[in-house]
Amino acid sequence: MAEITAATTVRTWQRRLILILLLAPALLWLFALIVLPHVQLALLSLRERVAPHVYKPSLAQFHTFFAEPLYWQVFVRTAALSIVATALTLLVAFPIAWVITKVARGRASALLFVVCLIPFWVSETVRALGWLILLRESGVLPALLVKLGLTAMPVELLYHDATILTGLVYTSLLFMVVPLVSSLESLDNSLIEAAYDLGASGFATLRNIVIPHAAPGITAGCIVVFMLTLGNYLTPNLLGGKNSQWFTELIYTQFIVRFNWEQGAAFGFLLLGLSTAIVALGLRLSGQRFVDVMRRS
Amino acid sequence: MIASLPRPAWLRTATVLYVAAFLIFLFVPLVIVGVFAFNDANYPAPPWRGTRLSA
Repeated sequence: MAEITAATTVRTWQRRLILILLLAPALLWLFALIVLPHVQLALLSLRERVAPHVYKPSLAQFHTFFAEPLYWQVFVRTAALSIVATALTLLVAFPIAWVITKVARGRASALLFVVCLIPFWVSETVRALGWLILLRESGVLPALLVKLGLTAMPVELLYHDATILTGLVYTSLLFMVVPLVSSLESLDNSLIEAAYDLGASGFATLRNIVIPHAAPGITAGCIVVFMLTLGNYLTPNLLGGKNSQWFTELIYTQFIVRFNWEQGAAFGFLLLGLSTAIVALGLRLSGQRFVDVMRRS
Repeated sequence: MIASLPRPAWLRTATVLYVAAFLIFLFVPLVIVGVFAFNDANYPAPPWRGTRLSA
């Protein structure tokens, strides 16, 4: 009897050891590369330099953020434009996901999906360069507009908010299409056929059957796209130039140009807080649970 | 609507047009980069000055 209990104890102990060993790489990664840097940044953001190499704990950085109109205005602008970009991405991606899963069949569907993925094999920088060549004043599209007689002179199409939004939608399409496709694929076609047989209009079917079913996928896509957009540095900077006023650029300026790491760390934490708050608000408004949504993405 | 249900002609046309517009939006910047990489100029930008393969 005692031997059996001892054997069971050893086995549970072994199982626990295996679990710990299997989890170790992920936990080490999380702790060393995500938790530790954040702790250091948090400490940085909560201190103030009073003299060379002399620091005292203070909330001066956060005070500066609210005292300077530029900082919080750029903060609000970044959040608003990110929400608009996420909504636009959803509007553009949903019909494509629908065509891939429900309209196209067999090979055509697979081919369309792969074709949607191909542009994302190329780096974001190269894609932004493509937009630069297309849209700049001496670029392809303004020259085409002049040739067609629509504008007398080449117009500058870069450095507008619309340009930034176009670039952001372009870079985040993939991250919306993939969760939408996976959530629409699990929707049974016979439900839509039944709705049609019972006389439901296309809009009624969309509202009562498709969207409730795809809601976790839609939310997952929106969260990913919103996070990527809010934290994007390259696209707003290249396509928006000095007019872009994106919050990540302010963080870059504090760290690299002004060498004010304390202020930069405070800005970083404010951005983290903002994205967390908006995602939590979005989940609350759409009535989704975070765990369900993350399982779908 | 889905493939197994009857779809009106305007919806079929709109679907094809939308997919075409989407693919143009997706591939135009890439094609432009690819094409202008061969332009015989210091910068990958118009006007077109002939093809050059060397750097």
